[in-house]
Amino acid sequence: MIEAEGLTKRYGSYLGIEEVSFKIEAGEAVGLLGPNGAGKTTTLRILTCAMSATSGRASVAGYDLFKESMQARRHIGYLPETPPLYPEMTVAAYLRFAASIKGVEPRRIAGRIDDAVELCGLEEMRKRVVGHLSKGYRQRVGIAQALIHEPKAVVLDEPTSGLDPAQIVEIRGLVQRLGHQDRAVLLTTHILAEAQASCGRLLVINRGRIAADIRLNAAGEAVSIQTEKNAPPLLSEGSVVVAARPFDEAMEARLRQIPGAVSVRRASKESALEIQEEEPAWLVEAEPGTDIRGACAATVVEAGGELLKLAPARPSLERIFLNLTQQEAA
Amino acid sequence: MRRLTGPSLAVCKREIYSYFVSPVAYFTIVPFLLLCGFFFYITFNYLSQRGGSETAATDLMVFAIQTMSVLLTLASPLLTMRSFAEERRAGSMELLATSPIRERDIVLGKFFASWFLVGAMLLATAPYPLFVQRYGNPDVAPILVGYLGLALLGGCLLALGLLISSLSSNQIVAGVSTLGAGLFLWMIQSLPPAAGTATLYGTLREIAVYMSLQQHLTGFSQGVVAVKSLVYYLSFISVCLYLTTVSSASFRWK
Ligand SMILES: Nc1ncnc2c1ncn2[C@@H]1O[C@H](COP(=O)(O)OP(=O)(O)OP(=O)(O)O)[C@@H](O)[C@H]1O
Ligand SMILES: [Mg+2]
Repeated sequence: MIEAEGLTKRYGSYLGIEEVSFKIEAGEAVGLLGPNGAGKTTTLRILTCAMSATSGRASVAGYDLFKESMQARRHIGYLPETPPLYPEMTVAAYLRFAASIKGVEPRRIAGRIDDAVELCGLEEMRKRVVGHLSKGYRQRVGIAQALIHEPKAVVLDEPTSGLDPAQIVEIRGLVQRLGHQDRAVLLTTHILAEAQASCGRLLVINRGRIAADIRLNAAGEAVSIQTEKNAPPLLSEGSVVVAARPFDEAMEARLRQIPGAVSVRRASKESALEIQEEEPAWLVEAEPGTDIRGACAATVVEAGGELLKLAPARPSLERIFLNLTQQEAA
Repeated sequence: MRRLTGPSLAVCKREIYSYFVSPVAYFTIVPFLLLCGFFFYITFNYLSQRGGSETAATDLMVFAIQTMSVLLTLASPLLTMRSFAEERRAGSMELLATSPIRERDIVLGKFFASWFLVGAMLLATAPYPLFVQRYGNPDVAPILVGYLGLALLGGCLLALGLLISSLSSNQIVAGVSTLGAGLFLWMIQSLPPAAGTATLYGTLREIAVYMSLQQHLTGFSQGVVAVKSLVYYLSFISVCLYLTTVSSASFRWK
């Protein structure tokens, strides 16, 4: 639904983003996560036609952003860092205007406003003047605007920044409700917990480059991590942590023999994954789609060893994020 | 110039809505009407004391139309200074920039909205000439043509104001520059004539005087629609609007 290929943006001689590539499918909710100044807003502004890229290609819903910009824009809903509101208008008038410039057919506008107002919890606010609303409600109006034309791609720049904790929870809930089967949601944040709560996948961006592509499970834990495009994944789905006695070369060699095991590494705090176990342990990577847990257990037992722990590998996202974004800065 | 289509009509309506909801419209229209009324009053008074000559009422109207053009020069920056500058500062430009609407339609929508307001202002001055009509007997054609000239001149000032607003992110800077440019285009008609005949200064003066917006109004206020004036006004508007489109689009390429 959203595709970026080698997007680069130069601000004068300063490189805003460099060779950013990713692909987001319909039904996905993706968080673009990175420290301040990493290039999140730059990426989103290019993807929404607010700004052109210096080089690279991008498309939304199959339309090239630079060649078929008008068609592409029909399918994009965008909430910028500051909601693009007209403070003197009422909520209803503002949404009506947004709908008409987004190309919603006149006879469908009233219905679309009702839907957006309901989804964003703005029923009470319809007649209120936008400039008089609290920050949280202004943010909701901004989100309602981004949804009014039922876009296939919804792009939100820091939807919860500057809100109080209660409103953060509400906006998060709203963001989760946006996603559906044929829509892609892309949001930026520099708060990890927020990304974990709303997204099934994270793109970590650092100093203008995509540093990692992380898939999460429903609990918000990382199940696979890809750092560089053609490099082997840092973590692949189905990988397990095995702690066993004896912890020696022979046992490691046996684990390597398991069909479907791609690699066996000693899990240590020093590696990029920072899996820290109480017992010395191995990280056994599996081929995608294979479950090697049974085989691991059998191997250890057959070798006469003691199986102390066998669990899916779930590294700490916090540490990974810090590692990926601080490496170069150091 | 083209017809207003769906999205640009929406922009136009929104602008008009904002003019009236934010009190810009009233702050512009009310002083304009008061000043026009005051001016009509003193001039009418002066002419009636001088004893109604045959052409007094006609002269009054010619003079009135010239004065209104100066008042328009003062008032129009208020209508255009916010249009791009403020939207850019407040971030609402991002909504327009990412919607399926062409740059040209945004510019046209904004232009016609401000022109509509100037039209409303001019229409609201109608009681004054009607009043003159009752007491004197001015020619009707010059009044109507004069108003047409005023509307065109207003269009020029607005197009210029939009262009200047599109170059800035600060509405005050945009407003003051527009005012300065408008006053300049008024005053250059008063350059003193050249001494000799074919001097360089003489040629430059000719050009400068032709550039003056008010200079072309003189013909209109006398009931004459000169083709060169009409062409000047319409090209002035088109060129400014075109440049506004270019300037507004260029923000994407930065
Ligand atoms: N218009 C601009 N001109 C020059 N440099 C810019 C411009 N916009 C952004 N930059 C620079 O590009 C880099 C990326 O900026 P960007 O706004 O994309 O970061 P971000 O990830 O959104 O940061 P934040 O979390 O603070 O919003 C920053 O170093 C910023 O200073
Ligand atoms: Mg940002």
